[in-house]
Amino acid sequence: MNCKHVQELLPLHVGGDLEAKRAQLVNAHTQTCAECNAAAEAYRSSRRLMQQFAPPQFSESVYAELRQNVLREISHQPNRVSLSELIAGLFQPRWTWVAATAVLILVLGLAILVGPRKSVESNLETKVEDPSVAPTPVSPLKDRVKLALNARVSSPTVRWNSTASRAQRVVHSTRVMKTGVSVETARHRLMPKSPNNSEPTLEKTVRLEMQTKDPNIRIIWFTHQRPEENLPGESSKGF
Amino acid sequence: MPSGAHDMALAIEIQLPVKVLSKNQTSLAHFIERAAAGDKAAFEQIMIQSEQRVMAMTWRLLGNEADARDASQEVFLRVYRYLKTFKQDQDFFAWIYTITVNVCRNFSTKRQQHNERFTSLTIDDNEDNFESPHDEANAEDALINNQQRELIARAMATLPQKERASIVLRDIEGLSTEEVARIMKSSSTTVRSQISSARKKIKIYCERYLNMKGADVS
Repeated sequence: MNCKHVQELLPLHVGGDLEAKRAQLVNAHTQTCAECNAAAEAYRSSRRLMQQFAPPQFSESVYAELRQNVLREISHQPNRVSLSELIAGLFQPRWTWVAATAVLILVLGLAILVGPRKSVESNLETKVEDPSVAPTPVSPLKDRVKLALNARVSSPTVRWNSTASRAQRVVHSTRVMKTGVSVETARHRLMPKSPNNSEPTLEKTVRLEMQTKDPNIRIIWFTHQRPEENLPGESSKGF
Repeated sequence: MPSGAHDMALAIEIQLPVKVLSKNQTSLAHFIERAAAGDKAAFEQIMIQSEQRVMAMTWRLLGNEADARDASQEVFLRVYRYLKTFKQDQDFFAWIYTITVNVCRNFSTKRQQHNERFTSLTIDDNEDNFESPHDEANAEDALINNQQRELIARAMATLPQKERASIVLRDIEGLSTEEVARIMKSSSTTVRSQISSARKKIKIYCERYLNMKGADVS
């Protein structure tokens, strides 16, 4: 242990606040080093002065006046409980507080579980305005999906020609995933008529339906199969 | 022995509590219980048993008699208000010290805001408040003691409030580091660091004062 380290530990050492092992090392060093020994003695001397730092002996009249003032103040205080004491009292005994917290967590958890179902339902009820398509009357989701399916099967399809329309289709596919009402409106967009080709080409459509846990939400996957050509990476494109 | 008589032995088992309270502690516990129920006479007894410690503590932390009296009054008012929350298995004086440290901290903050200076004991205006020392043989000893007291008081005034409270509780009141940490609502490591810093500053202050005095004399 060097002098610098010992000098740092001396303030604690003189008060007996060092662990036994370090105290032994500091002791051993101060016995061999005159400078550190002198510093230790200076610390002990100032600590002795500290311990003799007694307050003056206050007279009995000071204490009597103190008691009088306190008792007078207490007797003037009303017996009302302050708001902070009331709140503090609510948390005693602590198990009441724990039980109340547990109930609150349970209620919040139920609210979180039940909440999203209701928000999905309200989402489905919203209408998506599409200016290119005539507005359809609002009907239950099942009916709307059925209508869409029927419309899809009966009407002829048009072959895609441009990549721009494919991008357009992807955009509207995304819209369909979010809201069920958009199924009808998007369907028309899916099959824009090519200005050059007057004869529509019939494409095969495969429909895959998946029912989620929520009875009002169903995922419907449509794939287009072109009989003439099977473009790489385009064998099946769903929503 | 008559026939049919049986040997009978009676054994009484007395289980002593882990901590046997002294007579004073038992009476204090009794007063605390009654005072918590609203008995003002019992609270006065509590004050009589603890006022000297509280006044000494506030005087050491604040440095002057006027502030010490105001702070002590506030301490006892808080003790009365929160006596119902005191648990009998706690150390009562450690609990009072916690309140005292908090009250003195508020006083120090207010004093810093008003930029008041620390006043020395030797210029205290009301000498009637102090009893003349009976155990000091001559005036010279009394003078030396007063000078030493003032030296330490001035050294303490240079310390930040937390270091001052830590060193008073540890070196003067004799509490352990763990007890001090509990009162200060701090960790033992922090308290040790504060004590180390306080002792260093006091030692340096005392050395400078003595060197100056030595230079004056020479």
